[in-house]
Amino acid sequence: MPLQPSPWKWPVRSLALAFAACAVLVATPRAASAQTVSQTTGTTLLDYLSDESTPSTHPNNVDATWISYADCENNVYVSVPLSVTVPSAGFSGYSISAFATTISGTDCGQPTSRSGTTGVCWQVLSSSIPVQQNNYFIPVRNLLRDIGQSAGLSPTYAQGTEAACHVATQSGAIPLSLQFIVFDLGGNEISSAVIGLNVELIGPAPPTGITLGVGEGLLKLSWTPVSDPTTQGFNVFIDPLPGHEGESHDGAVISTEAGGVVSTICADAGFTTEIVDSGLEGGEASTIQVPIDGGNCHTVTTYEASASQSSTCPSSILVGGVTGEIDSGLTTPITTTTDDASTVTSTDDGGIVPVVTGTAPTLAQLAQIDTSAQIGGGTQTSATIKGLKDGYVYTVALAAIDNLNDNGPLSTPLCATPSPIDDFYEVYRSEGGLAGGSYCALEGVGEPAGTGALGLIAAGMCVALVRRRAARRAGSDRRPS
Amino acid sequence: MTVRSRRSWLALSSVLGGAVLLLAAGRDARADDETGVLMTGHHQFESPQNFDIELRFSPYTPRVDYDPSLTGNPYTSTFGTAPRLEFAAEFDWEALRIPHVGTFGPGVSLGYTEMSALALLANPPAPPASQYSAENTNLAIFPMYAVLVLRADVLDREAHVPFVPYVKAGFGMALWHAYNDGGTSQVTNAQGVTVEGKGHTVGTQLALGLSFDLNVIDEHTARDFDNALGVNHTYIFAEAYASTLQGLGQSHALWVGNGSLTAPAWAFGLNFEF
Repeated sequence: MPLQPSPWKWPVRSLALAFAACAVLVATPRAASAQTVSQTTGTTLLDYLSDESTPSTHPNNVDATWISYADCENNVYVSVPLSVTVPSAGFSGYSISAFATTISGTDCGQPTSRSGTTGVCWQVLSSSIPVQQNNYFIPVRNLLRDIGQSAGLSPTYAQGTEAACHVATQSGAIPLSLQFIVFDLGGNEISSAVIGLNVELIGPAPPTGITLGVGEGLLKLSWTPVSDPTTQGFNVFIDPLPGHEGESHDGAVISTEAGGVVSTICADAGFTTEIVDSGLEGGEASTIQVPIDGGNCHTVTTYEASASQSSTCPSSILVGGVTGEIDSGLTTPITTTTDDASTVTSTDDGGIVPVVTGTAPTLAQLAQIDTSAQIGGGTQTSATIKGLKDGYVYTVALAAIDNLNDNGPLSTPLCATPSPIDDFYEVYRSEGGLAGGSYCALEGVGEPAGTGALGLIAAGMCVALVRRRAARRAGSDRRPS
Repeated sequence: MTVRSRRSWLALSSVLGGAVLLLAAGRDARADDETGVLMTGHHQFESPQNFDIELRFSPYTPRVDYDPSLTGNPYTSTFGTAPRLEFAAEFDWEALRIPHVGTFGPGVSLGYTEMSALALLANPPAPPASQYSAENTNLAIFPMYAVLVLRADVLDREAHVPFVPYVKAGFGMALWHAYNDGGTSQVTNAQGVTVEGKGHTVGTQLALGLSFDLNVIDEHTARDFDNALGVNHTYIFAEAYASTLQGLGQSHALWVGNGSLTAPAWAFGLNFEF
């Protein structure tokens, strides 16, 4: 007896087919989700300002894989060219994020690396609905935000602030790993790409043996040669800026004018010399020339020169405050004489005295104090700051810079007062010499035509010799052999 | 003329005369050795000789403080007494050859020397603090002269005594420039006019020297030098000179000359005739 077809056969088959169809439909997006992310071959990272359109470049052609202090202060964005394959169903449901870590070999795709007490990656980019694009902009401040923090970083995305620019505590490069990860709807890592960066926020150590000498309207800095090969030059900071003497920062007067001596010089036949009280600190006398009679006078003010290395330098910016202590070796009471001639005696502190050192100025501060006097070359050992005013106290500090122009720590500030000098020519004139004024005889005061006459005589002699010799040769040629 | 100056000139004359006599005495013997192919060849291949170039080095102390109009010693008080080195070059045209004497013609020279020292502070702090600023004060001098030169090379050419005495006389001039780290020095004169520290000084130039012909050391090389570059003779020389730059024809001048007739200066160097 032939078997009868089961009345349930076709419904079962239909159900099986439906399941199979559903399985295929479900499996299709999974297959399409196998897109990848990688850095675009043949392209490089670029820096942009925060408008993401204005390029920002490093000095000395340093590429964008390096992050400098100026990048952070200028809120630069790193543009990362990425290639992300497009799923057939589009990007809907996927996200791309970026994480940074300073721990070498860390896979930020692992949830344990991004959260909890073991979290060492911090999120620097969050794009829940990534659009198809070639470049992803990462704020440098985001990249620097959590450098130096211990494990247990916050897993959530947060915007970095200016405070991130000060995360480094010493000079030298900090390797940074930037990892882009594509997540699916369930938060699973689909693909990732890792890019290596270097962070260098602090330049080399300042030179040692710095001295500050005074000149007329100038100061001269010198220092011992530096041995750090990363030193590419130096920045000289001065407070107040030339032309801003007497102004103040933060309401505090930062420059003072020393008491000067006003001398009068008059156009007359002679001078007499008088010994006068200079009026300078200490009351020492000086000799000045006083005109015999008046008329057609002008005044010259001179100042006592000074140079000192002291925490009392009048700069609220360059003198950073007490940052350490040293054993001075003092064993006796310290007596200080003040300007009003009174004395202040302090007890010996056991030899431990505070040391005042400079602090790295911010860009905002640099705008107030930077002379834009940048000295190229790490082998330089001196600098001259010109355009200063005699009689004003200037505070000067020095920072070494690396090839990213990152300032290193400031040197101990020095302060000095430019003062007039008596150079050779001034001494010569003061002792009766009257020469000078111009190279040219015709422009010189009281110069007769003697120079020109001498030149004409010499030229005439030369011409005569030439003509005489020519005549002799001509005569010789005409002479029969 | 002082005793010192007489000694200087006499010393040079004695050296000159002694050397001539000494070498003349040995002339016959040397001639026996060299009056053959070598000397004949030397003269046969000698290129024309019309010019002379000197490379000169001289200790230089400008005689600023000798200016009688000065009330002090501004140069010495600023730069001290140590002489500086002058580099100079001289080009001579040996326009005439005087038979059995030597060459005669005009020559010009340009040199350079500079002195530098820390400038004194106009208002120094009380001692023991330094009275000097950190700023340099400098004096640059460009001495130059035009002279007539007589080189008596008759001994060298005809007696094979490798010494050539010479004498120079003419006029000199020097440009000078006083400056410091801030630029050219300036003073305000009694009329309130700013005067810059630069100018020129005119004077006379006299020199008496003695050259030693280096060709005698290696005549083959000398001949090659002549054939290749046309250099007939190479000398070393010592010269006593007086660059009396005291403002000849000028009302005011910075005395930047070196040496005088009574106390000549000295120059040493190399010269090449070609």
